Amino acid sequence: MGSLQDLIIFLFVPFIASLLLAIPVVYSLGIACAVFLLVSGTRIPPIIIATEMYAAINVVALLALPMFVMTGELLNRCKLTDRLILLSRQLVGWLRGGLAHVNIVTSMFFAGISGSVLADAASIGPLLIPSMIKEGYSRAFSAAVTASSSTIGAIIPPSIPLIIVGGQLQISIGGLFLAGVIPGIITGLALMFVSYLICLWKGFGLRHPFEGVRATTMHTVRAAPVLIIPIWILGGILGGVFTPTEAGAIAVVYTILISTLFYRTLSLSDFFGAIDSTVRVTASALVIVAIAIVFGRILTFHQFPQQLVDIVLFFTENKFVLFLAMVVLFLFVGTFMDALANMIILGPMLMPLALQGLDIHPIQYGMFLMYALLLGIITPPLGLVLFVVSPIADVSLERTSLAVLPFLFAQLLVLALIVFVPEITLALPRLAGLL
Amino acid sequence: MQLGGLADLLDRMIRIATGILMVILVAVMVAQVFYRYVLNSSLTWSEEVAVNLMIWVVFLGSAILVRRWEHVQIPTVVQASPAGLRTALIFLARLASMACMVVFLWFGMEAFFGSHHATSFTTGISTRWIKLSIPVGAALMLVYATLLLLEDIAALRANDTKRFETVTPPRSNSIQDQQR
Repeated sequence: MGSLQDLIIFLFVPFIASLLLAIPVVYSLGIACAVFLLVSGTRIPPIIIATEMYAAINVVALLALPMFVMTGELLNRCKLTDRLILLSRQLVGWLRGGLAHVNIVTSMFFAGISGSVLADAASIGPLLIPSMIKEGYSRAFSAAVTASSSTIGAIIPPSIPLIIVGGQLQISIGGLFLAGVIPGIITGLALMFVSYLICLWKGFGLRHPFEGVRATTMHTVRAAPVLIIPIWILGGILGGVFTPTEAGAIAVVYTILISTLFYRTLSLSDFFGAIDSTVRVTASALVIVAIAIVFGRILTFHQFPQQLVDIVLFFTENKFVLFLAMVVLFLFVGTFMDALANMIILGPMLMPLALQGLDIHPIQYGMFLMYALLLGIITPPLGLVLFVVSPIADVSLERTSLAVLPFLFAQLLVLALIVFVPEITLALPRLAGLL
Repeated sequence: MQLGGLADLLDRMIRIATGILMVILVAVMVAQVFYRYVLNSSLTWSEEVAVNLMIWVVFLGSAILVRRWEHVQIPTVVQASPAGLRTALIFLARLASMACMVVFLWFGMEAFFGSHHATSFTTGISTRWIKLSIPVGAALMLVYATLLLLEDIAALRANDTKRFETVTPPRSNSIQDQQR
């Protein structure tokens, strides 16, 4: 167990201390790796800091990330969210708690295009929260609906976190994309159900009368060029026609075409702005991937994942207890730290434990990992998205935290379904022959 | 502030460079799709070139992020500390990060000058030119971090406590810099 002690003293302690001191995640990881490699007397040569960082992102599958980031950036700049909201209003606005449902359904549409949770909360929030408050929904409820529905962004493909998870755990990204479809839809429906109950109980929300088939058709046609993007991306991957990376490249070109020819809302400066943001987002995500792999290599070299399996399974082999323990861990670290960095560090570390202890498929594990870590960012009191939506609704963090609890609970149930009902995630990838 | 002007020039140059790399990256991937599905002949070099471009974008882009301290971080604890301690912790975080950049630079150079390089079959480019992105990126990070630190010290001398209210320097500052 000597090496376990070394890992704790020279790797985990410096890492956590650096994080708490607000040293950026990438440098916290770098400092921890450097301390361990230079001080602990390990047999790993310290040059892996550079060579493994290079190897970590010298991966073709990761090319999908800049592609989908750019697609999302371009679409955001041509004010597409408005159109999605108009369409959602036609589709679900007539239900009790109309705008709450509109909020959730817009997130589902948005998720099929962008792949980012914060982008979702930050772009839908300012558009819908004010109108929700005006129609008599409480501020906290409006913020909570926006926060919890934004997590769908990463579940419904294309999803930026899923690209990272797939690259990291060596799971087919196409398979993960397909695995996210059903959980994404279930999550949407679960959130709508919870909002329906809350609106009924508290008497929130006007119903918007259905404006007739003509209006619905009109809004569908207007949003159609955007709405078909996820359909052909998924169709292409499902049919084995193109890889996720190629789908991303096609999506970029397609987006440029529809935004200049059909919507005519994309200016040249928008285009340059989109490229600039794509560089920033790509660099900020992948540089963490690069150094986190070095961290992971150190852990695997010293057989930490396997030691962890032995220790944990020594205490319990009960699947449900294991599931709860992992969920608590994911939610806890998920509220503290960026979901992406967590996926990269914890993903491979806990994979043997999950596969052996919970007896689940790697694709299922990938979904479980990402979903649980995402819930971390809406978990009170530190969840990142809560900090984004509360100021938009002009309500205290405490009130949003309370209001988000019923939604969080519903999503935890969906999480349990993902782990205990394999077909929810595995049916579509199996259909595509990706298992 | 002449230093700020120089930094902005450097900033603009790196942003243009990464922007161009990014556009080429997308173009290469689009060409791959076009060749495979329209011309029915696959390009052998496209994915490799695109990945190499991406690696350069990542390390150069990370340097840009240092300029405004935009790398992902967890400011909760520092933000909750009293003002004096907070200023000290912010300086500590900057210096510790710079130490890490030196580590990246050092081992990046060692890898670049080392002998474990392969030459690509499809493009004929040695991987050493791709690994070069790590020390170059780290060196630029150090330049930006030093500039940031100098601005911090200037703010401390001028008793500008506002700068240290958040870990990330306030944005208004940077816009003024750009206008100068």
